[in-house]
Amino acid sequence: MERNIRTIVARTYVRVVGGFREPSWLIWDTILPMLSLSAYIYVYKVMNAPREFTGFVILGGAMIAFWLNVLWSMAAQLYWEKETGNLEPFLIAPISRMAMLMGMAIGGIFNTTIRALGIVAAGILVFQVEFLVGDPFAALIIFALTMIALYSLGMVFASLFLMYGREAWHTSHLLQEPIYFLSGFYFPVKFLPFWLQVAASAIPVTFGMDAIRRILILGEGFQDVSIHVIVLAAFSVILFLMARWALRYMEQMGRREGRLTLRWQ
Amino acid sequence: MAVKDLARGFKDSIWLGWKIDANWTDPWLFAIYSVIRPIAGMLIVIFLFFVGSQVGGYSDPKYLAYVFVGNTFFILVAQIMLSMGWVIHEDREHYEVLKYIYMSPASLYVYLLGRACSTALMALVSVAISLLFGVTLLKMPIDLLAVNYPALAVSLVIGLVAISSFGLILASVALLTARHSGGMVGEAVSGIFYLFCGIIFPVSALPPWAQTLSRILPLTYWMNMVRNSMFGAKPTEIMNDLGVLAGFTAIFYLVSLGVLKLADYLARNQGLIDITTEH
Repeated sequence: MERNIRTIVARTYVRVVGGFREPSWLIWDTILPMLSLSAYIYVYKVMNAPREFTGFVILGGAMIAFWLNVLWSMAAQLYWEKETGNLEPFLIAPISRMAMLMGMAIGGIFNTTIRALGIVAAGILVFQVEFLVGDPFAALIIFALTMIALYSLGMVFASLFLMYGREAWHTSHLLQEPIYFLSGFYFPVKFLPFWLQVAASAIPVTFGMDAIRRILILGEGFQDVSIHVIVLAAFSVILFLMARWALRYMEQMGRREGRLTLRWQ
Repeated sequence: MAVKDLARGFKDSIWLGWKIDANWTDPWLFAIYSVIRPIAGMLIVIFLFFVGSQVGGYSDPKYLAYVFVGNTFFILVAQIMLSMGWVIHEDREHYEVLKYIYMSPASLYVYLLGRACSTALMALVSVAISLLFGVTLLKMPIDLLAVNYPALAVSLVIGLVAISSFGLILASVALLTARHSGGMVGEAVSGIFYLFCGIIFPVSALPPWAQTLSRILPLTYWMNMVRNSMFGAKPTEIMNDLGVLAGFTAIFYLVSLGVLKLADYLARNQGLIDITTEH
């Protein structure tokens, strides 16, 4: 137990320090998303959409930062480690793989929260986005549950990426725009056709995005998002268990087929 | 170097680009992969329009066509910028082959042009499929029989030279930067074009300083020309954009050659050809 906690702390430390070693990342991760977000905001402006839609886009941009972090810094991480030759030491070390992934997740959440806050701050400064925080406690609960569900999904993907190599790498690309669209990062999912809403409900970030938007932009309270809380809690438990299973399966398969340290597959 | 050798280097680098991008899976899966992303991107802006029209009461079908055409043809810019911003880092640090490309008798300039061309060809397929998907399945208000195809072809050829010139500048800058500090430059430049070149909303909606910036970006004129061609404009209606686009493209092409030469000199001088940061 103590060793696992030390593993979590150590991996979190590496991620947090790594995230700040190159300060230019903060600029890339804040200004870069603002460019396309601004274009979407101008579309709403041209169409005379109400002001809260500007807030929807900015909040969506902030949540995209977490989604991209899950895809590229959680899901792809073990693949990266293999490519750069670090995976062998990780696997040889007498540590829990889950502890290592949890450390990556905590560090990733910390780093990405700073970048997401940067996007929100830029939105407030440039577009005067207004937030009507109805229930800060509910916002925190929803945020925490969304992060647990999202990063557990990232842990599942991490094992898949390692098993399927470049195919999974491309899958990560494939999980960008389609998820932005389905999960309603730029508009509430209630505007999607019913069958697309059903498809979107299989993605945890859809519920997190909708609940956070309701609380922070529309000023709603805990009772308005209670279903979101239940669904996100269920996603968190299921995905965490799936992550454990996938990690074990990946390691067994990798050992059996001798693919764990094979580069450029 | 003989023209024959240059042509062979160009052809081989196109082939290499295709193999790198596509050899991870079978062609059908690659085709699906190449189509889903641009279509999802297109659906985002189309739904922005539908949501905006419901909540804002503005539902001009001409604006829908404007957004659709702009976003669809922007695939070319986004993919070439992304690819060219990353190609040097990938070859140098991931595959570790940049030093061999330097040692080979092939020209780096021709190699980079070939890689840009390879991406452009794949992006053109994505554009064509997105257009067909939008017009046939989503009933976008565009009459494919009324398109001024010769003007569209001219605008695509000149536009691709302009976009590739920007791509060459990005690849040149990448010669001097490490992966961790320069890897995102392609997306950054692409984002600038997306915001300032009238891709999904009219430039007139931007603040005055941003409109000035958009006037010196060749892709503003390229997008005007593509859009007008798609809407069946007469030759006289696109001559102005064509002239400005051609002039800007010539300037950026020459600048890209100069930047590549300078970056190449500095990279050799500072020993950056085989740098690996593993960062």
